[in-house]
Amino acid sequence: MFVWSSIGCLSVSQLVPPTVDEDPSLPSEALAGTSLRVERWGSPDDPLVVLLHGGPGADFDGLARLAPLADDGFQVLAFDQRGAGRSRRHDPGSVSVDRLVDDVAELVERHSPDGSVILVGHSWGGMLAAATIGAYPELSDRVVLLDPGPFDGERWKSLGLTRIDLSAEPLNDLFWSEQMVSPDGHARLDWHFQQLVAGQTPAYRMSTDDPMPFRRYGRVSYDDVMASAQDADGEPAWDFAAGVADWPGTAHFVWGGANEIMDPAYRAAQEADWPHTTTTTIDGVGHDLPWVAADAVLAHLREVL
Amino acid sequence: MVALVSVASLAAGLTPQPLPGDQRALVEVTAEPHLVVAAGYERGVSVGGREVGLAATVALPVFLLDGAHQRWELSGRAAVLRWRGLGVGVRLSAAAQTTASDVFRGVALGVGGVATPGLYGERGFAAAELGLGLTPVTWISPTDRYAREVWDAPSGFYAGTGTAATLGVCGGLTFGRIGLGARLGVDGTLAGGHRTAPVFAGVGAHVSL
Repeated sequence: MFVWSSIGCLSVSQLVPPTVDEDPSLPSEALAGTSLRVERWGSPDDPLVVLLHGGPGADFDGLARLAPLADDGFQVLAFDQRGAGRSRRHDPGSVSVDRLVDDVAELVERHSPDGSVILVGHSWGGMLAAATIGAYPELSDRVVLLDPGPFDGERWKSLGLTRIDLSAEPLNDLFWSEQMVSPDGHARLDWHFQQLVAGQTPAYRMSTDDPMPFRRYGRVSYDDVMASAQDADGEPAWDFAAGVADWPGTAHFVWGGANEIMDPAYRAAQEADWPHTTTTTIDGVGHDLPWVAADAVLAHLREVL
Repeated sequence: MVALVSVASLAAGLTPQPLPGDQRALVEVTAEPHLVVAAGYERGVSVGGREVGLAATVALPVFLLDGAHQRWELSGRAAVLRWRGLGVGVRLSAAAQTTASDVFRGVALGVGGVATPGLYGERGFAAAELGLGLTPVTWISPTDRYAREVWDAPSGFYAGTGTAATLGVCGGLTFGRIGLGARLGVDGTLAGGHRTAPVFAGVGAHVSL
C-alpha cells in the first residue's frame, strides 16, 4: 500500500465520508459499546424530542431540517443509529432492532430532564419509534410518525419492495462495480450501497431538485437490522406495533401526499395499529417530506406537540 | 473482481486446447449473476514447443448496454500437466473493465489466473476450477451527482481495489468444428468480503474457423 500511495494512488476509504472514529471533529457520544454521531439543539432543560432517521442504515442529515423546533421550547436530539450514517461501524451480527431500541431508551435517560421523550420517526425511524414505544411505553405520551415504514412484515411484503428485478439498472450497476472494487470492509460496502440508494423507487416521488441528503449508508447495519427482524426462512416476521395496542399516548401521523408506495389503504392500515391517532397529509410532496417540506412538517409539529 | 479475470475467459477456457494454427470464434453467456454476453477470438500458437491458446474477448452486461460498461480481456492458456486421462490446464489473463453509473465512472485493471485440474479426453473434459484475481489499480471519477449529494471524493487512481477467489466446476464437449462448455461456481475475495450474490454460472461455445 505504501508503494501505491507514494506514487499518488488514492485509498478506497476516501470514496465515502469519515465516521466519528475517523473524524474526531464530528459531534459524538459514547453509548453502550459504540460511538454515535449525535447533535443537539436547544436547552437541556426543555422537553426532549428525539429524531429517528430512516434506512435502516442512513443518517440524520435530512431530519436536521427539523432542528428549528428548538426555537419553540424543545431540546432536539438527532443521532445516527448504531452502525449507521457516520456512527462507528461494527462487524456483522452486532446490530439488531432490540439493540437500537435500547440505544434510544439510553439516550432518553441520559438527556431528558424528566425521563420522557417525544419521538419523531421518518420511514424506518417510524418503525423504530413504534418498537421503542412497545418496549418502553412509559417513555412517552406522544410520537410523530412521518411516512412510517410498515409496522408488520406482511404489510412490508404487500408493498412489493422486496421483489428483485434482475434487469434493474441499479442492481446491475452494483454487481458490475463489485467486480471492479471488491466489497471488503465497511467503506467499500457503504460506497457500493450508494448504487442502490441512487436508484430509489420512483413511486416514492422523491424530489430531484432537493435530493436525499444522506452522506453515508451503513450497509452492514442495514443487513443486520433486517436480519434481526426476519424469521429463520428470511421472511419479514416483525410486528413493531405489537406493543402499542394499549398505549395511552397519541400517534401523530404525517403523510407525504404524493408518495404512491404508501397509498391510502396502506396509511389506514398503519394508523389502525394505534389506539389514539391524528393524521395529516402534506400534498404535493413524496417520501422526502422531512426535508423537502420541512416548513410544513414543522408547522404541524408545533400544532400537535 | 472475479469476473474481471476468470468469468470472462469462459469461452476461451471451456473448449479443448487449440493446436498451433487453429483459429476459433468464441461466444459466451454468463450469469455473474448479472447477465453478461461475450465474444472473442482465439488462436493456437506454439511457444517453446508448447501449445498455447491466445484469446481476446469483449464482454458486455446485457442490462447495461449503454456503451459505458465493457470488459476487455487478453488471455493465454496451456496444459501444464498431462498424465493418462488426467491433466491441469492453466489460464492467465489481463483485463480492463469500464463503468459509468450514477455514482462513478471507472476503469479497473486486473490480472488473474485459473487452474482447471481434471479429466481430459479427445472429445471433452470435466474439471474443478480454482481461480485467483487481483485488481491492483482502478481509476475512479465520482459523478457530479455523487459529489453534490453524498461526498466530494477525489478522482484518480485508487490502489488495491480488488481481489477475487473462485471455486467451481467446469466441463466441455467437442462436436466436429463446434465446442460447447459450461461452468458453475462461487466466488469471494481474498480478504473475506462477500459480493451481494457470490455465484456464477455460464455456457460458452467455439466454432473453428
